[in-house]
Amino acid sequence: MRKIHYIIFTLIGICAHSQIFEGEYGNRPAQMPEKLPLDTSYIECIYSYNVYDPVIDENEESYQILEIGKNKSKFASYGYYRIDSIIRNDYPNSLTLAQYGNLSIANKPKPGSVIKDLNSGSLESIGRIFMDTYIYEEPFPQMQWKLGEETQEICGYRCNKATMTFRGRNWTAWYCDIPINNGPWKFGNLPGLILKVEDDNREHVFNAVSIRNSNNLIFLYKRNYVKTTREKFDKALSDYKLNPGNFVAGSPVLLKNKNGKPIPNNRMFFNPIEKE
Amino acid sequence: MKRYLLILFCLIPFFAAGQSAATTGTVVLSGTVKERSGEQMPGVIVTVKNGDGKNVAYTSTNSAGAFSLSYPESLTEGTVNFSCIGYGGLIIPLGKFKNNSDHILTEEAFTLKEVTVKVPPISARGDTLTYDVNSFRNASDRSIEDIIKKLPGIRVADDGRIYYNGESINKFYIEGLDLLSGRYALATRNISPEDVVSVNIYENHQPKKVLRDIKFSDKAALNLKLKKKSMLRPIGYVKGAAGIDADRNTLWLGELFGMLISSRTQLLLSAKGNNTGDLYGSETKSLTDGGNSERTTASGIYSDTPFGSAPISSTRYYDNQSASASANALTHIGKNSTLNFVADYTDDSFEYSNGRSVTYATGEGENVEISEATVSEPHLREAKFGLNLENNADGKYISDKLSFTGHFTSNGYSINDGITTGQAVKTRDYNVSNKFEGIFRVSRHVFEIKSDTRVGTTPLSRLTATADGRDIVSQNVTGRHIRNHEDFGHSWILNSRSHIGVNTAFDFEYDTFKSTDLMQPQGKSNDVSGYKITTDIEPYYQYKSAGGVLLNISIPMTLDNLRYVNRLDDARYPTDRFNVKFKASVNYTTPFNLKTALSVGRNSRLGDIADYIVNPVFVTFRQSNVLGSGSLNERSSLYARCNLSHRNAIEGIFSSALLMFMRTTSNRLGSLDISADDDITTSYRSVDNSTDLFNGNAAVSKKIFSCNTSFSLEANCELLSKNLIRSDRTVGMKMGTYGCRIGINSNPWHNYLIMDLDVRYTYSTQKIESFGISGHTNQTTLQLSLASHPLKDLEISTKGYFNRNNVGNDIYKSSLFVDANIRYSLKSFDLELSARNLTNSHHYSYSYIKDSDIYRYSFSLRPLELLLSLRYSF
Repeated sequence: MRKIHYIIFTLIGICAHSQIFEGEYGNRPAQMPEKLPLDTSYIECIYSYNVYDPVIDENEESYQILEIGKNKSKFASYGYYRIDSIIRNDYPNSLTLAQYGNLSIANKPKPGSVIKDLNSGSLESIGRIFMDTYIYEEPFPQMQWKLGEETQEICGYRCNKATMTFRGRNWTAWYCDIPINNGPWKFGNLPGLILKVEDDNREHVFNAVSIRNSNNLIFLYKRNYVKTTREKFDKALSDYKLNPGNFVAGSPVLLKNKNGKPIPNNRMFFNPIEKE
Repeated sequence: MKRYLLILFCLIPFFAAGQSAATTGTVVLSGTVKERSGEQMPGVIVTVKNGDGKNVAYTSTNSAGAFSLSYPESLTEGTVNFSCIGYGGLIIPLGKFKNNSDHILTEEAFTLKEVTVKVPPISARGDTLTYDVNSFRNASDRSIEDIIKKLPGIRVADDGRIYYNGESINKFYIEGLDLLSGRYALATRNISPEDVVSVNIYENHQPKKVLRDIKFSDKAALNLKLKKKSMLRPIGYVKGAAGIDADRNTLWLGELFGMLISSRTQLLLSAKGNNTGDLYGSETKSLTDGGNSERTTASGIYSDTPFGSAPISSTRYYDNQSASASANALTHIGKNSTLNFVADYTDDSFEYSNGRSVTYATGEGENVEISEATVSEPHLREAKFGLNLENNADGKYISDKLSFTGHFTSNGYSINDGITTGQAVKTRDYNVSNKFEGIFRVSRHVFEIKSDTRVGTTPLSRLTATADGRDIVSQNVTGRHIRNHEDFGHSWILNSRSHIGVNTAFDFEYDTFKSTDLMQPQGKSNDVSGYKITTDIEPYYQYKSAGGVLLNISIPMTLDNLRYVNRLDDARYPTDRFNVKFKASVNYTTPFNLKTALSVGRNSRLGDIADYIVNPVFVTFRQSNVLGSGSLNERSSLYARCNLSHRNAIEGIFSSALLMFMRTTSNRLGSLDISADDDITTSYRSVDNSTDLFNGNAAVSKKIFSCNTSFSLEANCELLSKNLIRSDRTVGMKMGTYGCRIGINSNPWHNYLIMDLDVRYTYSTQKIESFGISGHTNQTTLQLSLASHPLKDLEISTKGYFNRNNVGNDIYKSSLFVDANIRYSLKSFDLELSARNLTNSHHYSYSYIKDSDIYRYSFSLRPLELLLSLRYSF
């Protein structure tokens, strides 16, 4: 078994190398978009995020980081955070597209983030569907937690339990005594920082693996985000993941089906975190 | 007694009041939290804990520093806790809590207990644009090409070439190895989606789309990742088909395709044959070379279909016998190197008949009409061998590709225009090419070297024609071609916003061309040879502003040195020219997600050996071409282009608009002369002239998700103004083409009925004022396809094509084709019954206007055909 993995990785490695060195574009500079500063973080918390799709029976693990500032907080892929700090340290004068490609291969960044405005009580959610990145705004959801009795140690902190039902899922959260009203994704509204939160089917599990002081710029890349609403975004994401061929059928970005072929009912890995 | 009852009744309200206090049972705490300076503190967390220290209720202070929370009255022992980052905590026992008072917090440094239980891993492979094949698959997909067509951003042309975001892909891998050296149609048309788990698109600029808005022209690479079960064992298919057509001819088809992939070696074999109209020549053509492989001038003189070809699929009108065989092997040698061997042979022999009538405008109100009926029988054979070596080590990339190709044609034509003429063309042509590429990086400097050498020779290219038993034409054309091209690139990263670079290229081209009229050896013949050295230097600059505006400027400069000799009269033509060109483009995406691109530029080009081939060369028995004007063609053009696009996939809206204007000046003009015997000669005259071209295009499409239908609308317009020479007169010509298209794509009932409708209308006019000619043609085309999947493994589909064409003088000709198909799959078997040309149409007619001449064609079609095929996949 291990031998096959080694072979696959070698083949993929060669393939990735060929891709990077192919043509002149790998040697052009990677022009990173401009950074819009949001706040300065004083605490960072890294979570592992596991999603399980019961329909295709697959598990996906990624790492996310919650950067907390006095006025704003940002929850996004740890891959992008790590690539950004490597670029700041190792490539202060810019790097080539091939070098950026290498970093992406090593760090697996995933698009999507939740930015909370702690003063105005609203949040912005950014996500990617198909070729475009969308943004929508909503007020902090009213999460009515029920405090529980049990305790558990998570990431070196003694945490208390709280439960609630939110947008179609039953969530259990474990919050510590650090007095920060925040947590992964859109979670919050508990008397302490949420270090672990999962739904009762264990289909979505956020688990803090590292918590530390920080003094870094929290920023957002300046891009052309398409404004939309939460309902439209969730529905479009679901349509796209469950039926990707159909999502773009009939549009010019897809070659028109010559024979009017049936659209597939096969799906990508997908399990929405909010079902309503 | 009564008095006691009265007292009791009076006391009930008090008991009731005491009871209600017990059922609500909550205590409300409120107050404000302030700093020592008196300033209010928002965001302070206030918790009520019970005697065991467990949280019972909580809230946080609002922007005014105030809070209000309630806890069950049953809680007698507990604390009220105030905590905030950067301040010391405040704990007040419940009994001592004073409602509606201020609570003061003192500043205290916040110390966090840092804990790490796990470090997120760095992975060996990354997120490229991976498409899960299953997500795009549907029951009608037969080969991986059908799925690749559906991937966002991908377009597959009719010849199998794959375009991603408008640029053709330049590498095609299977499991990371480049087995097919660019001839990927072999794989995409033959590998079953069953064996592929995902298709990866490696966008060369970046695996992640986050940098997509930097470059427009991105070359991409595609990689097929096979399912585990498909590795280490042969995968492929065997297919056999038999059928009959309305003229009682039998049809047959046989195909065998197999692939064996192991960790160190990949092997691909295929053998095919058919007489159902599919030619194999295009499958083995390399689709990743930059266009045509360089061949001799002599090899391009004769077309294989000089009497016309139809803009419909060849399977509708070619009667063929085709066979092909192909072998590819790729193996790893050493740690970082791969060696690839390819060999192909294709043999296409086909026949078709058509009628053609051309009305040539020769002067004021004068026309010459030439009509002929032809049966064309080309026989094309091609053999290819190739050897590629690639080394991919750290910090460098080296590759070398060597290939040999031989083309053999022996074509026969029978033309009837009152006299029966037979024409035969026989050619032999060989090409050898070697491409070397090396890329090296040294800190911020980048060095690229490319060297490309091609040698071609056409020892034989003979045209003969006989009429009424007499030889009327016998001509042989030979030639040789050597080309060497070197590329060097160097770029500097100036800062995070800009970079500059220089690309230099050196090109050496040696050509010979000899045409001999074997019937009159002292007569019209050509013997020209010579070389051309082109040195290109292109400095470029790219800048991205803070606002996201991307600017690209480059100034290509070219030095041309040409030395051609006409050996017949020993005339020499030395030319040295220096030309400066210009390219500038601006790209910007507005806040409303409207992408704009503007570009302007100046281009120039010099001619080559063809300009000195001044005696006529026969291309058919009737037509000769004079390839050059005798002096070097010099052409330059100025262009401006504007591109706008907007999309919002969630709303289902896609739209784009394009405007382009180009003015080209040239020092030669095309001329056409018709002799009294209806012999046509095309030639060039040295006349300065300019051509104006305007092109406009707009398209919009909207998808309505509720009924799963999308509508699209497109309009385009092209205006051309140029000069040409007829009967020794230079005249001006104006042409306009206007078209619009409506498309509807709908799948409202979960695959029980899928419809795709496309309606197009084109109108074109041409006008030559000096001749008093003003003509127009128009064409309406309708394509409708319907498909249904009543059962999971059963597909029924039908396709109709209708065309109505104005073939001149307001005469309209219509064509209607209908095809139907039933397919049933059972495990590894696929059974298919297909019927083509259900209406048994016998002719297809179309016409078009070229310069001042009207061409009208009518092709004989293959009759109604029924074909039953069985395919087994392993």
